This record gives sequence, C-alpha cells and structure tokens, in this order.
Amino acid sequence: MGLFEEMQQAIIDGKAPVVKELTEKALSQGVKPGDIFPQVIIPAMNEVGRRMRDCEFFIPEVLIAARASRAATDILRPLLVGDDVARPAGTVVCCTIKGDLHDIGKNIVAMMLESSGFRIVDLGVDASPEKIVAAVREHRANLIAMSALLTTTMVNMKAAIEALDAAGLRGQVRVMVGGAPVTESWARLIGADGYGKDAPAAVELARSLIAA
Amino acid sequence: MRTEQWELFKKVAKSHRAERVPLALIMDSPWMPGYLGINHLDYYFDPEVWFESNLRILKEFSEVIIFPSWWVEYGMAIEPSALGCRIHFAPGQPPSQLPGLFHLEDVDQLSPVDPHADGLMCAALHRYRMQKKRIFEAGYTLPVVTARGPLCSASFMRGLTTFMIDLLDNPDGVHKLLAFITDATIRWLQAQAEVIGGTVEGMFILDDIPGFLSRQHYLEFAHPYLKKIFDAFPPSWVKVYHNDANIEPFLEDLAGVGFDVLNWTHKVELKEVRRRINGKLCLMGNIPPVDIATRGTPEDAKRAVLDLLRDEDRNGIVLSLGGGVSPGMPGANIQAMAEAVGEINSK
Repeated sequence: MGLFEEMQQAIIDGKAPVVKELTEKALSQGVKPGDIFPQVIIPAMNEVGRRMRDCEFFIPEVLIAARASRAATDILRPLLVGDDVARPAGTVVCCTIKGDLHDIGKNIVAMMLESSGFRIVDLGVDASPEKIVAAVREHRANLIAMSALLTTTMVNMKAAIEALDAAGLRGQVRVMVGGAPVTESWARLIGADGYGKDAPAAVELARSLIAA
Repeated sequence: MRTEQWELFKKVAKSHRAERVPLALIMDSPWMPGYLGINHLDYYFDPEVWFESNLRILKEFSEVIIFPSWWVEYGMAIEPSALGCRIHFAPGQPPSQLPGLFHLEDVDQLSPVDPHADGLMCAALHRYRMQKKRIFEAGYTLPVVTARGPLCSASFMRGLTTFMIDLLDNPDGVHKLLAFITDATIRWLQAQAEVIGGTVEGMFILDDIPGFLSRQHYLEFAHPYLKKIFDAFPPSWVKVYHNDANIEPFLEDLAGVGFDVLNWTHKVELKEVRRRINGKLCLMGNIPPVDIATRGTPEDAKRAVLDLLRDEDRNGIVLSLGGGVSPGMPGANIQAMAEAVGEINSK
C-alpha cells in the first residue's frame, strides 16, 4: 500500500494519530501539501460519505473519520496559505438555528464539509439571524448551512433568510438547510436553495451550489 | 386516560387482539402549552395550570388515548437534572440540557441518584403525590411510569457528539456510565410507581439514541441496558418503547429487549416492521408526525390513517404517530385521525 492509500485508510478508520504521523512523513519526503487534499483527504471523506449512505458507517464512525481528517488539515492549512491549488472550495457559515441547542447534525456536516475542502465558520448552536448576517458579511461566505432539530425552532430558518434579504446579502450567499424535522418542501417554502437529508448529501449539495 | 382506555391499550399490547383499534397519541410539553396558548413555565411549575391543561386536552380529545396519561415532565430535563446537567429554560419552549460530565472517568465520582431528592425527579414525584387523588376523582387513571433511556441520558450528560465519539474512544468508560444511568433509571421508575401506587401496571421508555448506531454498537451499548430496565419490572406490566430514529439496523433484535409495544418512525413502513418483527411486538404508529399530522390538512391526516390500515391486519396495532405529537399539530388533525379510526372500527 502506498503512502497516500495508507493515509486514506487511516482517515476512513478514524485513526487520528496515524493520520498525523503519516502526514508529517509525507511532508518530510517532499510531498507537496497541496497534493494531499485532492489525493488523500477528499477521496477518503468521499468514501466515508459513501459508507454512511450505504449504512456501513453510522454517526460514531463518521465523527472519528472527520476527526482523523482534521489531524491532517490542521498540519496542512498553515502551509497552504496563498496556495491557489489549496484554495477552499467555498466558505460556509454553519450553525444550529436560534432557539435550538442540538449540535450533532451541524457538527457532522461541518466536519464533512471541512474535510471536503470547504472553509468553515462555525457559529455553534442557538445562532440568531443577526449573528448569521454578521458572519456572512465578515467572512464573505458564499454558503450557509443551517440545522434545526426541533419543529419549534425550524421556523427561525425562515427568519434568518429574511434577515439576509433585508441586509442585501441574499444574492451573494446560497442557503442550505437540514435536520430531523426539515424536508425538501420546507426548504422550498422558506426560500432556501437546497435541503441535505444527511451529511454526505449536504456535501454534494454544497458542491453543486458552489458550482452553479 | 380513562380506565377503559387503558384496558383496551393493555389488551392490544398483551394479546395483540381487540375488538377495536385504539388511537393513542404521545402528548407532552413540546406540544401542549403552544396548543393551549399558555406559557411553558406556567405549565411546568404551576400545578393548577398543569392540571387544568391536561384535563382540557383529555376532554377535548376524549376518543384519544393520551399516552402515557397525566405525564409529569419538563421536556426531556428530568433525568439529566438529577444526573448533574444544567437545565436551560428558553422562553416559549421546553428546556434544554447542557452537558455536565466533562470527563468520562468522573463517573466514578458520582453518587447514586436519589429520585426522591434529586433535581426535577423530586419535583415530578411531588406533583404526582399532590395531584393523583384529584386525577382519580376526575375519572382518570395513572397506569404508566416513564423515563428516558440510558443512551439518551448519557448523551445529555456528555453532549451527543462527545458521547458518540466516546463509544469508539473509551468503550469501557461508556459501559460504566451506562451501568450507572441504568441503575438510576430503574430507581426513578420504581419511585414513580411507589408514589403513584396500585394503578401502575405499565412503563414507557424513550430513547432515540440507539438509532444513531450500527447493529454491533446497538448490541453492545443499548440492548443489554434497555433489557435490564425492562426486566426490572413485572412481566405482567405493559412495556412500551419509543425510538423514532433509525431502528432498521437492529429491528429484529428489538423483539428481545423485553417490551411489548414499539413506537417507531414513519420512515420505516408498517409492513416492513411487521415482516421483520414477525408478530412478536405490538406496533404503535406510524403516521408522519410533521409532514402529515402537523403540516397536513385534516383531510390529509384522515386519509393517512385510512391508507395505513386499509390492507393491514388490524390486530396488534395501536394507531399513533411515528413519534410524539409535534409542536403546532392542529386539533382538527387530531380529531380527523380519531374520526378515521372510528370509521375503521365501525366496519
């Protein structure tokens, strides 16, 4: 098994210390930092997404795989500043919407997006429309990923989209939504640009929204 | 619920046969205060408001078995409040619970939970103690004791993301935590039965978290602890388990946990669950709680009930939602479901 395959496998297996060690080894052997994202991290996380979709992986396995990929990205990011090859696929503001303190869906999506090359601005839970607007403006985000686990709080997604409209930012940012009670029809109803039924779907949606 | 409603529920749960299909809905504080237009804090902490609210709902939906009946709850906060979590009451919604066990190894430092003295368990027991006579005199019964399951409580104590990672990083620590919570849960259920008294002959456990796991992890971390809880109570009791997350990986295994009735998600079809459970459990479900019951029209709700039961053997079914009643579910949709069940039962 080559070094890149070994690194991919370690990410899929969720072995963060091994990923760190192999990343350092690769760099010491002269591998360009910019090659590791497209040839290791992104394919590994695509495989994690596939396994989740096919019910081979469940939430714990996805979380530790994402954590392992971060062991590599933490080393690589500082080395990639200004490198065009490693330019983020997009900047995503991730949050659980106002009134909702559930973080797992948002965390998984944020970790998967980050491992897929997106820059993440994580607003945490209970994010107000004002906070979302401010983050989009400050970080010049081109995507927002909003999560809600409660039917009582999902209505606040609509308020956030309205706030983006009122701030004149709606044209520059695409909005995707997800979470247990959220559906495709709800996404359409509130004027979101898309709905991700799970984390792998959210990654695919983010890619397609950025490409559109 | 009324005694005759409980008798019907019990009969279907235990024998899978009854002259009528019961309609039972899990109604609690995510829905009730909003429906009645009252403040959540008043609902939780003013005994008079709580009593009158429940009475009003029972009278308005007299054909529906309100399950588990006069449920004293504070959102999902009772168990975590006794297990050391901070409970956060945001306006206009049930409380949230913030993690309190920051290091898994600290489980060794925890003293056993005393339901008569700890957190909101103490408050809930006091409410039962003070209100039960009034409830019985109003013509209702209190047949069921209720608790969140061990993985649900563990996820509150650790935070869900952290707990999911714990399962792989520190399985021994997780087992210690789950053993601790399981004992606390059994004591909490026993305390309710003790305070309520002789009318109790059922239990209701809610735990969605196993639905985030593979079958292998379910068998290691969920099944034995759930089984221990159900087995701690008499076999004659009616035992109900709610999990509206993804139960597909371990559906067959649920028949061996020791409960009689499964309330599950609408995302797994009744036919499929029946086929895989093979008559071993009574099924309580499974109309979509949000898309149909809450956002649909009364016609949608009625049609969904009629469609669900059209070609189905009606034995061993308690008609319900695939989960609890969601915030915002209109009363007209509940009435429409009752009407549909009435039509089915009249044929």
